[in-house]
Amino acid sequence: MEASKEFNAYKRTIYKVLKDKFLKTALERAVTAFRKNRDAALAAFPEVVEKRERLQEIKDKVIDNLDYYVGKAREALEKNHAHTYFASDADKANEILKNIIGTGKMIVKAKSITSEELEFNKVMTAYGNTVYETDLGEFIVQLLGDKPMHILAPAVHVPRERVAKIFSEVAGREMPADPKKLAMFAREFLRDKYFKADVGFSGANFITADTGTMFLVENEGNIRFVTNAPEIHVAVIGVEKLMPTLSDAMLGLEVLMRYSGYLTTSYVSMISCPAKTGDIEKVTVYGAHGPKELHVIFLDNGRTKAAADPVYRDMLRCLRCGACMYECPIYPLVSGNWGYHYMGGIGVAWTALVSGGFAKAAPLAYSCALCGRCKEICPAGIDSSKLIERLRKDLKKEGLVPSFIKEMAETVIKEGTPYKKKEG
Amino acid sequence: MEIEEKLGVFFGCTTAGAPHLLKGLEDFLSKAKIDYVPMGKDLCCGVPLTLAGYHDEAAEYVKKVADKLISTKITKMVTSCPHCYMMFKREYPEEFGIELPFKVLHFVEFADELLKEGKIKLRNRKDVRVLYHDPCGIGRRGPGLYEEPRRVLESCVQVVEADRNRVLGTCCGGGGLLRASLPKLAVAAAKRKIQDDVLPKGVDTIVTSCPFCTLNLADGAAEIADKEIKVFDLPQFLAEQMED
Repeated sequence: MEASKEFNAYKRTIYKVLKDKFLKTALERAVTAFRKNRDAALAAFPEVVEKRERLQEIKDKVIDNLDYYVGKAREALEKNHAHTYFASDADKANEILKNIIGTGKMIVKAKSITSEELEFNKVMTAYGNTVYETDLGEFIVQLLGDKPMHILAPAVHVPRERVAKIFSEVAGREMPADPKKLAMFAREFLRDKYFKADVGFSGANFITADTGTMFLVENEGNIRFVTNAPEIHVAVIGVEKLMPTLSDAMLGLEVLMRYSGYLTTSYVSMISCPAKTGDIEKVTVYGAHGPKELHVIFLDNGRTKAAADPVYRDMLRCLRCGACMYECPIYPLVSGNWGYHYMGGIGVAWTALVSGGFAKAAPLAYSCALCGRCKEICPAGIDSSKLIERLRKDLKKEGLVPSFIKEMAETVIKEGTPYKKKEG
Repeated sequence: MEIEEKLGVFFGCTTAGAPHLLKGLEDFLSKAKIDYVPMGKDLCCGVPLTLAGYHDEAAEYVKKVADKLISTKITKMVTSCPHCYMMFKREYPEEFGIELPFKVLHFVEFADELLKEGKIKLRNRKDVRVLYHDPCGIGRRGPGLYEEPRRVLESCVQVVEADRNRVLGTCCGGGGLLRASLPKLAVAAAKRKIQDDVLPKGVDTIVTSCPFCTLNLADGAAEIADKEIKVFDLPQFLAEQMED
């Protein structure tokens, strides 16, 4: 019963979204632009197609030995005067964060989908802190009180007119629907926040086990401020982001950039320890110009369990390049409404195993046409259709099947056809 | 001694349930003078169960289907439904351990064979342009039957390709139970596909090889007000190109 109620609520949302002309326009623009950029990036660096196979092998090695690589990375970081933690789930991570950050603090935040697992903004605000999203898309989404609808472009669903409206409210003056002017407003508004903030919060795209170096890939330049200006830098990193060595992470970086549709991104930050200087008589002083403290929290939250499963484990290869979403026949019609914290086809598995649970994943599991094109373009070779087919089996076992599926299945078993027979 | 071939045609519940698709396949078979045992008009292959995650129930169900099929003593089976095809060809043996004692062909393979052997005659209508839509089921999610349908179509009409085709072809949205779970979303995907792939090519006819794609694309086409797009399943389209 519960499963059907959830499904019907989801169906109402999806059907409402299908009628949204603004969303349609925004998504059509985004899909066209992304595919063009991605094709250009792959054409300019054709060897990346071969590199992705090597990346898959590296990723698999890490997935098979998560504990080992977490241990190695922590060791490297601690040796470099960083503090490290292991959080088995989101609640534990939030407890650790509360202890580090405290209350009454100002936090500037880089875009991090991992932080969505923790509901970071909600939890930290409730604990008496102020959080500023600094990625332009996230900033828009935060002002709108909305949720991110794409992992790379969180405000993919918001047309410029709506951005102008919300920025006008914040600015207290009329803002034109001009992307350039709107971006400049965000720049001015956030500029002093970086230096006033007590804490900079980020995720990471990769973190190496041999040196404890996190890689943060961006275009806007906000991550450089977030991870550099405040005295304390806190990072929450999913354990699947581990790479054995620096050169493995470089390979990953290249693949990630190309499949995200970039010849190169504006910036890649590599951070291994707090800022330090030894310029006065070789005495090491921490916090030279950058943060005095670096805290790295490794988050499990279901990943180890997923890694132990022969089918679900593949989801941990995901680089979050977003390529699959733009290849999907469904996602561009509904954006992140098909999802919870994680979205699209791959997001269904992440919802079930990591962020949300089976009950939250249940309504989402029947929106995939199982066409398999995402696998063809995925740099990590993830077959989301296969993950979803497996999940549907588990949902059946858990009694979370929506009623229309149940009725159809029962009709097949009883009548030998899924279509109800007509009388006579 | 050669065993005499006995051909079964498995219509599948979706084709059997759509009168125009059923007639298309029957017309093709009769015009091609094919001797066959009709099956699967009233018998589902079990794919809705596997797609719904009903694995244990499916295991039990497909055993019964397999028994019925085997009892007909056919040596070869043709189906025009990619779902049925992949069930018999891959899921029955690999997922449920049932080896069917006959060869399973999809209609595109069958038509391609008939054409090669000169057993069907198609009207030459090279002025007609059709866009071929690759169903996922026999394409990237199956054995990649991309060239067979194109060879057959090219023998009678002009085939126009979508910019993204074959292994990168855009799904119509009709699979994976989506037409059952969120029909409006499935149809919206079909409409988008037609707008992106078909309209820019100036083509008004789509041919595909799957009853789900045919029905879903037709529903999507119906939502495009300013242009009439016709959608055919391959057997149905070929039947129209054959002499009576």
